[in-house]
Amino acid sequence: MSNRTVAGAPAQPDSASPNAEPVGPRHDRQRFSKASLPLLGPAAVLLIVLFLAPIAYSLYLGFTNLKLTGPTARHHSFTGMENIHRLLSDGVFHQSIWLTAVFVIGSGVVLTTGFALAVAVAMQRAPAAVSGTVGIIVMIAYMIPPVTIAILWVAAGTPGGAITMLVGQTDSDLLHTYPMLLVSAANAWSLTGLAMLQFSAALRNIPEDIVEAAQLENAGAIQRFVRITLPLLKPTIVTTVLLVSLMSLANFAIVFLMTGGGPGTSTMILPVYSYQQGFFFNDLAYGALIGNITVVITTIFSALFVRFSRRNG
Amino acid sequence: MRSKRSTPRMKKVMATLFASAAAVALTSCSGGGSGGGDDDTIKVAYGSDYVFLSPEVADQWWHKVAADFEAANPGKKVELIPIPGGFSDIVSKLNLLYRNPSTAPDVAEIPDENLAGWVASEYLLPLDDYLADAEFWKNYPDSIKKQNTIDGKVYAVNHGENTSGLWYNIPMFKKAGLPVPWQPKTWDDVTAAAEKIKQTSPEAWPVWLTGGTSGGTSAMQFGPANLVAGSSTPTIFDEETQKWVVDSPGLREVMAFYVNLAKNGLQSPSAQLLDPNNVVNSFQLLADQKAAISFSGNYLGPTWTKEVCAPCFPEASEVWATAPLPSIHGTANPNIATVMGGWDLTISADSSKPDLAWKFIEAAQTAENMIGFANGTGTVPPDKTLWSDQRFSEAAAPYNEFFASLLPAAKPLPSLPDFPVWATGFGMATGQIVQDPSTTVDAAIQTMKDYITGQLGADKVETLS
Repeated sequence: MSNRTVAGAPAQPDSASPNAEPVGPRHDRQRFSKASLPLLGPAAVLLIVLFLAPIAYSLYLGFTNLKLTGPTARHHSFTGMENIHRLLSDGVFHQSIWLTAVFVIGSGVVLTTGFALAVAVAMQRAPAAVSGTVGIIVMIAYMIPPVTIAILWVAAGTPGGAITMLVGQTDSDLLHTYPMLLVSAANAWSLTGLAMLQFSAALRNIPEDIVEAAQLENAGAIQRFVRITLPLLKPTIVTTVLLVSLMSLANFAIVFLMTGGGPGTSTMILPVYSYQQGFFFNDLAYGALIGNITVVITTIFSALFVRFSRRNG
Repeated sequence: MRSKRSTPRMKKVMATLFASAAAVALTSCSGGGSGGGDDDTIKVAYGSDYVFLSPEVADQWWHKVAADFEAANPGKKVELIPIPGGFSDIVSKLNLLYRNPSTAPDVAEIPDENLAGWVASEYLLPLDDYLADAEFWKNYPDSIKKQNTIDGKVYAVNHGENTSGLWYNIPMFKKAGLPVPWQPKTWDDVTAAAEKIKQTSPEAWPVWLTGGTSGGTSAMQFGPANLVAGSSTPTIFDEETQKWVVDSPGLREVMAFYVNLAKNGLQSPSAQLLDPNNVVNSFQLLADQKAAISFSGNYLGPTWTKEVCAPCFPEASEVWATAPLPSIHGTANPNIATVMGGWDLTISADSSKPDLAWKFIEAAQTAENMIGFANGTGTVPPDKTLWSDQRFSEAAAPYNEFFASLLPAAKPLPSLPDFPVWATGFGMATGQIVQDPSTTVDAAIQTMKDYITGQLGADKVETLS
């Protein structure tokens, strides 16, 4: 980027024309002033102390035998690849990776993005009162704390609850019969408001003249949506998918409160498994290792998010 | 747009702001030490929400003991460290406090089931020398003394114990023509009674017996663990081989009991049994007479009293009666199957004031305070001379005396760090049956075996024949 020639800039480098008038500092290159270091200092210290150092410590813990209780609680030691070997042969961990993917893709990518896009498009031409009310409702779902969401969905998904009544099986225990579906739906329900906001903003930026031109060419509603709206929304869809995926990955609370990772291990996503190992099974080192895997996955998603956000920006 | 240059005045303002921020940060850091570390103050950590039937009663009881201690030891102070949250929050917080000697509380209230783990961590002080002269200790039943002893040394002083039994609904039993008082001799007697209730009170759930993993080790303690205690091989952890039992005739008998209930429609709804709050929810469900026979602990009676009222059910004694859970074939002597679990007082191995800490335990172990603790928490005082004391027995009559009488026969659960792993595997098996009544005993045992072996390694598990 820094090597690009900006329109209007001298065609030759300054050094090539010794008689040229000084033109002042170039504005097409990223500049760095040492004077900014003290100003960046506090933020850097906070990042190192509160973010990088704990992650580095957690990485180290993953290679030790530290327990919350027992002989190695205070006197732990480095155990090399022992935990990694255990991880590779741990059936619950393998299942947990798969369940995490199902949860993130199912609830984050498919359900949240699908619902949010549908609501945003539907509300585009709705009367202001309707779109306002719907907007408020989905935003409330986004704003309420995970504990409330979990209680609402447990109540709705167990006998006598709203969902069991809606599907005509009042006495069925949907939460424990389809646990992954229910926790995914609860997560999607809570994130739809945020995604919808993004889509609504992006939809407003689609130029009316393109849509009108398509209408003049007799393009139907579906054609207009597929050929115009979706391509123009693509950057927003990509960043929203990444954002809700990240938020789903971090959504320990809803799953833990609704099912505790169960029944059995059927909703044991990585953050819940990490907590179970560290604080219920007292194995802090193994819990830290599983947490580190989550950090790696989250970092990949974050890097993609930053990359696409910049490109779109 | 050209940015403005910083003026000298702005620089001064910025410098002042940075200096203030740094000062605030440093002040905050210096305040993060252990606190109250002087020779005249002891730190006491306890569960403020979970252990007592209400946080207000917890607050009153601990402040009263602190006041008693301070009155008996002029110039000495108590710094109370309340730990909010549920069972696992208390355990996690205590674990974190203990990890650093400077934050370890001098006295802590710990759950029985963590004792061996914390002894192995070298967190706790042996109390044998102090207990040699303690009057209250002489009145403890051997079962509790044994529970508080690890490798020949006593590390904890129990101050409230739970036992479990069968609660049965008097009107439903009478309607079914079943005898009241009811004294089942075998597990078959229990299922036979449930079958009759199913015919005569079809609206009721014949049996309330929790399963699954979501209720944690507490739910297991008040339900299925009692069946293990009454089975033909009650061993969970084999002391001789130092291995966890993942398959045994006793475990198969427990699974068969679950299968029998589930297959014949005798269980409560799975959504209720698998709920993470299944034990707490049962306070209301049983007050509403949803079930006919319940596997529950001693806490129900004290919970329903006018004083605690969570929920209020003062007429409980006309509706619910209790009986000991028998052993599977009625051959145990006495024919009582119950595990026990409760709360202990301990002194930190890192305490610089163990004598003062012991004086706090003595203040907590007066008859008045032990009864106050038992009534406030819905537990049984460990001192058997208090079981017939009216302040305790009348507080939740007739239940308190009944559950106290089970204590001498009660068995402790293992208190090793890996116990939650075993409990989770066991819970997965019972949960599988609750959820899917077509599950076989073999399949349930296999689930348990695979999970525990996967978590602990094949060298730490065994099968008993």
